[in-house]
Amino acid sequence: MSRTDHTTDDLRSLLVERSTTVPPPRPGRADEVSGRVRGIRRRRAAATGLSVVLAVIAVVAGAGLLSSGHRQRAVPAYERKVDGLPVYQAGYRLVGHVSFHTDDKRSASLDFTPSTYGMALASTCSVDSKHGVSVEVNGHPVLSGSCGGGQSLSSPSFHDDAGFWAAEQVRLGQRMTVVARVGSSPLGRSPHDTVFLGPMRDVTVSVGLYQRVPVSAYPFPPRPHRLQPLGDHGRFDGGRVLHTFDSRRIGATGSAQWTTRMPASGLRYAGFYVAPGAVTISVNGTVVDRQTSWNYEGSGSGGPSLDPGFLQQQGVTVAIGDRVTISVRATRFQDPAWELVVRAGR
Amino acid sequence: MADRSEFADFVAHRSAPLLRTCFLLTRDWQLAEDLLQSALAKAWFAWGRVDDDPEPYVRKIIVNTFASWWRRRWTGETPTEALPDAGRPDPTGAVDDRDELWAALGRLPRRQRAVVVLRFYEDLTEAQVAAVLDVSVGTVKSQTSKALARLRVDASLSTHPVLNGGTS
Repeated sequence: MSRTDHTTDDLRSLLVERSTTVPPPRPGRADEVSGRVRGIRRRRAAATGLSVVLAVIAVVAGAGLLSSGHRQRAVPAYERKVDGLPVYQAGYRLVGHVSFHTDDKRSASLDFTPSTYGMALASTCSVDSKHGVSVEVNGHPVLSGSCGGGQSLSSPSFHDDAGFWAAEQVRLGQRMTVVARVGSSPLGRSPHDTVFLGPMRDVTVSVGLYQRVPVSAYPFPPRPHRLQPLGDHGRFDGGRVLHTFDSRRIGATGSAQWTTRMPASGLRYAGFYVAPGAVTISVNGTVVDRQTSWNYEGSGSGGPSLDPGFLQQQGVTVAIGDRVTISVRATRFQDPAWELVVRAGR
Repeated sequence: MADRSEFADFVAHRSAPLLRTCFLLTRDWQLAEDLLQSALAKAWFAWGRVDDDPEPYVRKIIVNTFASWWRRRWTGETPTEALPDAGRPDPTGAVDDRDELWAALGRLPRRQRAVVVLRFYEDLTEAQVAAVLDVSVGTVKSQTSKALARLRVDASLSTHPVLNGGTS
């Protein structure tokens, strides 16, 4: 059969065939959705609260200016933004950015000489739009997606910074070039998506390059008088919880471990955080994940499925039925503000 | 109008088919799970406003979330403008050919891939696809045509009635 012999029936049967190898049912899905719902609610609540605070500040500042001329409230570092990009977020600091207006340009570039591989990229648009923006580094496509949905930070996985950036031909001490373009396709060569949605007008596109900041230098927001409650996940039927690492028993910082037999369904976990801090997760002594929290808004983070296949990739050999020890180590927390829930299943 | 108390039931009973659609869009089961959960979380907030059958609404969220997702290159998926040279056909025939078609599907731009999945997997009409994607029927037709051309699928060879007129 040659390439031009495909029919739409071939296509239909292929789609059915490839989608039939669905993974086993995931009993905790509803629980994880519940966690996401809670996270969205908190972000909305925080945004609403911030709006009210900013409105009050604006009124007060306005009154102050009227009465005393030039006094202005300095914006704290953790709230500061440049062209829509937060100066600090998720442990990173903005070290370079590029912005352009779509009525004037279709792309813009930024040169930067990195001193560390601990970097991340973020983008935002002045107007939420379905139009695409793509980012390339040294000519390699790195990000591509929609302008909509607010500001978005993307970073390599927690222990693969160097590998990721090296693959983009980034070398420490050598100049790298970041290019932001209108258009979703890699390298922006295809105008397809833009054509699909029509021209992108009157939008300011900003792409930021971030560098990891030592925790001691990171400007955390002030602790609220009362933290968000922990432990209200599981709102929906989320399947069987096998174990919970709970900071209210373990302590704000500290370590704990739990041993079980690897079930046929594998294991999975999710962390919940209502204050800044970090939790490192190990399996049989090998670190497999590190989850961090940088504010008090409340967040949930699912980890990788701890099945024999994934663990083998991490260098941990565990078969079904073998003993497996999960260890957690919490650092930087000032409050018992985290928990990590382990369930059976992928 | 859907009752919010039925949300957990919906998640429990309708997730499997929706997950398959997510997989055809993302081509990765983990990403598919992530996409499904993102869509379900968004749906939860609108649950009280959706019709008795929430599935079309959730499917719409899935497709639009997929189309607007930031794609991280280290997920390993790198669509390109043009299909690479196919080289010589393998004598083993159909299996390799299907793999080739599957790979070509993965190289489609996101919205074209969504159109293909909605038209040829979900079997939606052009009007239904247009409603899901919030575009005109003409746009669906042109996107379908472009997608099939990229996949080297000859619509005229189809024996399926849904396709007739679908790629004009």
